[in-house]
Amino acid sequence: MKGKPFFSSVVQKLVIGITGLLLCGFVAAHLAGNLLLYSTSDRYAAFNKYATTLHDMTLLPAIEIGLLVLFVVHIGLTLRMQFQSQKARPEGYAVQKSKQGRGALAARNVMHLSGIVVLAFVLLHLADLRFGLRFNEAGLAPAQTVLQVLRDPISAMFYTVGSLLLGYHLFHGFQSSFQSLGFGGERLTRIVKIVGILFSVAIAVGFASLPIWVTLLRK
Amino acid sequence: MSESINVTLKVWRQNGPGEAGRFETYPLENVSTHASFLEMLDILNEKLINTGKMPVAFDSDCREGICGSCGLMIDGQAHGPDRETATCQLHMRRFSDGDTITIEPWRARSFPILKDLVVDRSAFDRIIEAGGYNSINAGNAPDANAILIPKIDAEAAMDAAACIGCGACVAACKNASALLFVSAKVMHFARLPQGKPERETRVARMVAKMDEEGFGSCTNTTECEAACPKGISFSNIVSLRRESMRAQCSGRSTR
Repeated sequence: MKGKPFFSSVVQKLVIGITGLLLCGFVAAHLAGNLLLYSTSDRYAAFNKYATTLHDMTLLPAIEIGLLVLFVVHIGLTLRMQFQSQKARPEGYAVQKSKQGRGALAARNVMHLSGIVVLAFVLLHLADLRFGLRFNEAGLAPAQTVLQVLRDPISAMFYTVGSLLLGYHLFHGFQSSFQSLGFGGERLTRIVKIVGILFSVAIAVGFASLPIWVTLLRK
Repeated sequence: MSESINVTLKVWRQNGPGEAGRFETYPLENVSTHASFLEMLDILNEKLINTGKMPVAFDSDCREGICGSCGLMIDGQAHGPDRETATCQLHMRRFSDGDTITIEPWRARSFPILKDLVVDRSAFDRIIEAGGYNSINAGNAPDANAILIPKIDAEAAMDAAACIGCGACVAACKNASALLFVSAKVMHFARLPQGKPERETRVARMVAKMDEEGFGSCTNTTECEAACPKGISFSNIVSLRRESMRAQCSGRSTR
């Protein structure tokens, strides 16, 4: 067929789902590392050792490029999808009400908004800790740098809100990804939903706990 | 419950395709609560005709919930507030005295408005033409039990076949996606032996046609399932994804 698009809307959603799940894996690994910060003994030795080992990895640049690709594909295809959907309904309804309880602010309806906030959070986070654009005091141990960033009120606020909204994004995103991948059946769907809720809550609470902990207890 | 109520209708009026439309407000008194929603619109139209005005155009045919003609957005909900109920099966007892009811047509680029509340749903017909049929010779009606179909498949296929193509899934979806409709048709055939020989090409062609017709993309909000007057399950969409992947991987989807 001529003029046929390279991939269908179904495949597009599949790729958004796969990249989303891979990013979930990254986020989980990232959180596991972060939680080492709670081990304060010996001047955060556990966290410092983990951070130094990670930064010295030869494969790190390759992993970073891989992550960048995941982000770009996930966001790029979502924007494309959003654009197509907006075109699909040029004129909206005067009144619109869900038949599913919980209204317009349900996670499933605000994925683009939660996604934008998470993206802004990730960019600030990269500026803070990957590129050291706002804090670049030399000679600090990794844990000290992190604490310095988390003591900054702007970062602390943004990191808390960003983490919570990331959890909200995953509240729909996690189970939705599996649906896009074609994981069906009543039992499996139920399991995926429960795991998704637990996962998103763990991510939100886990990440947001750090800036709150630092702000309240580690002045 | 009182036997008759007074309601105010806010109805979308539009003279023709592509023209600018607007809401018009009509007070309607002493509507019997036993009247169906469409009978209430008939009463309104009689009143409009008697006063020399243009009646409100709306689609309806069987008025018993099986033809799929009567799709209206009632107070922001496809087919009104009830679950698994087509507009024609909705009754005025569901409303209270003094209610203002907003009535809009389905809104989607692929369903252009023809007049007032009537939309052109031929995009669905074209999706069916693209593959929603059997072209193999299935022969005469076979003897009972000559073709064995597992109960679970027969039931699931029958449930999918209940789709009446009314377009409520598209209307209720925030992305105006038609995937519930397409998945019902695809999974109706794919589960039955007669539909299996063409299953790869069917799903590929119907999905391609759906995209070409300009419907939006499904984001798994399951709003379609909640709006469907026939209770078509969202799980058909998930099955369509597997069916679609299966077709891609088999390499037979473009034959």
